[in-house]
Amino acid sequence: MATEAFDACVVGSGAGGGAAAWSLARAGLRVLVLERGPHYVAKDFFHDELAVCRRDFFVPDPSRDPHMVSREGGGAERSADGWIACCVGGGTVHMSGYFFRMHREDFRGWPISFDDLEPFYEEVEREIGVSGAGVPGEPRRKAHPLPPLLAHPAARLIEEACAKMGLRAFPIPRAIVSGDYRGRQACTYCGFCGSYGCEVDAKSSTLATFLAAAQRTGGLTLRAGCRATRIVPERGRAGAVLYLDGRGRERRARARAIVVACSAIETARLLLASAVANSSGLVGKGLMFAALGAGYGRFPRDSPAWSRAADRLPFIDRALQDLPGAARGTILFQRPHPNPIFQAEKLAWNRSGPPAFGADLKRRLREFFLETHTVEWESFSEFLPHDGCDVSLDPSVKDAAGHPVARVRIGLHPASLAGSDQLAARAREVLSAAGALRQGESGDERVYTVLQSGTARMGADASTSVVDAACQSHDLKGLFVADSSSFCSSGSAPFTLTIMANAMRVAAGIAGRMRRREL
Amino acid sequence: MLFDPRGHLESLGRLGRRGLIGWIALAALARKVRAQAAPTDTVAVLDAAAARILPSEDGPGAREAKVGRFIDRELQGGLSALRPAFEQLARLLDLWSQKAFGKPFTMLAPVDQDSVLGKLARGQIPVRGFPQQAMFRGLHTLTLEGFLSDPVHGGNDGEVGWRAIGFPEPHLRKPGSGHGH
Repeated sequence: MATEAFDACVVGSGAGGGAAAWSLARAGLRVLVLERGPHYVAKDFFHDELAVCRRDFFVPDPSRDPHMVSREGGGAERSADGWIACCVGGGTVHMSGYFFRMHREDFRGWPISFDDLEPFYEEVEREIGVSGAGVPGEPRRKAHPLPPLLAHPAARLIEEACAKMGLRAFPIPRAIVSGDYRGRQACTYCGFCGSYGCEVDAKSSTLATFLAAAQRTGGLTLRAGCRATRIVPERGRAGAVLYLDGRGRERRARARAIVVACSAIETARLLLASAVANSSGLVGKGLMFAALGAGYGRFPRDSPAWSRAADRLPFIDRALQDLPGAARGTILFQRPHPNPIFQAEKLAWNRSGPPAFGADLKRRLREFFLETHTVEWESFSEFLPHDGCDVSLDPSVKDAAGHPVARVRIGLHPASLAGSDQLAARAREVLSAAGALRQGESGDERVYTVLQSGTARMGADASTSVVDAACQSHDLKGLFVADSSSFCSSGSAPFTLTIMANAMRVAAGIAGRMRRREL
Repeated sequence: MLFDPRGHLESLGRLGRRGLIGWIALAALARKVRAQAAPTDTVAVLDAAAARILPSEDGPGAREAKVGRFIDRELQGGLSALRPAFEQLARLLDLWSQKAFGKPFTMLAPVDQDSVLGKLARGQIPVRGFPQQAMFRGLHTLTLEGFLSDPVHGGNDGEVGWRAIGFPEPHLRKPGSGHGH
């Protein structure tokens, strides 16, 4: 078997893997990054909803590489749920890029605090380019490096409605560059962010930022189409990663540090399949997502907020956070995603009974596309871990390479649902105050599986956690986790920025240990 | 009962961003449904059914967008695993139309086609073991996809679907075409 040696081997190239790879390469280390998906570049991204969002451009075909998913105690079935984009840059390629810091109170139960992450938050925002105007209640020493993106005039409606209620709506900080930044072109306001790759690299994915910078150091070896299959301890240390290359040949990469960052579900699967780092028995337990709410308000077509000229501004980009009298969480106001099939499906959805068809469906399409304007809201709030939500190895189903797939149990704690409902009520009050003609729900999904965490928690006690505060395995020296698997709470806002900041912290720790010859 | 469709119904209800899972669940169903001798013209029946999901009264519908052509291409291409399930669906629609109205589905008056589809959508056609609601949702999804996807996939003929909903602005259609505004 072909064997190579590196200082560090990073498995996964998304938010955590990409940030860690850059930090390690910058420290002068020889870094191998293994990414199971393809290496798309900006010119590969195009606006084709069917091909990009509804087939297997980003996520594996579940007939070959499924997750076996059961919801709320139901039977397990093949699904693409819980996969984050499999390509160089991972989920950061097709994210919307809502880049919040966690707040001090979000770190309750973690072995680290906000202050431990603060310098890394600052560094990530500066390195990749985050556009914003600060966040009320979000501690920061330095302003966002770029001003907010241009907002659609409907943002004013939201701001004024919130002000009437004594609330302050603020621009959503976004990992999209509002001006030319470090050789990258400013956003062109096409609106195809979430679910798509950015064809001008204005989105601050790890593909466009950290990995590109890591390649410039000369220390990065980036291998796409390579699927890690096992971590093999050697002499009581992390040792080596076995992987299948693009041609399906098994190869071995030895490294002083192995950094796993495959997303909370796939990281847990890899650790379980390798039978490492699990003396606590907690790998895969405590899986968390984000509690989600979603709805919309329709506004009159002739409202001055929706001028023809403004139609080219896709973002309302206003947020509320930590509202008095509601569970901690974040409400985002946006214009609808420019995906007509997705919109039509939501329009046809009925709370009970089959989707609308015929004249009823055409009426709903007309109302949405031609007769009104729409403001949508989404809420993200704390997802409490519980026994009915975890990752294990499926006892029988194998992936295309013949390895056991992840079995994922998804369930929402009643308290998480109640908290989410409180936010939904506040969002509806805002849209009423803003003059919505009519409001509704956007479906019955209350678990946002793209934000996943908690399957390899950090903690001081080896019997109640999987990794230590440095995100190194309690059991196996040299084995680190650099994605949201290590998180001890889901927080109250989308946490991609926190994954990056923590990965930078973990990588800085690894580089320090190597300098001191502890690894 | 040939099979228990409960789990599949669940996943088929969750379309949208995760549309793929519905199709995969259907592929599993397709393997379980026994093939019957089928003198039904599958594409003609699905085309006629799509034309009731998005009718052409009051503006263009599935027919003008050539949704039937889109469905045919998908079931021969990326979704070929689902073809047997949709052949079964077309067969069921024909058989029930014959029984209830004395004619095959494509020969029914639109109001009777609507009645057959309404029964299918609610799982009320008296046939054991056929996942009616799931298949209706699948057909519904394919119809929306055929009406509103990029014409390169065979539907949305001449962008008739996009024009019907005023979408998208020309500068949004392809990357590269709208930069610099």
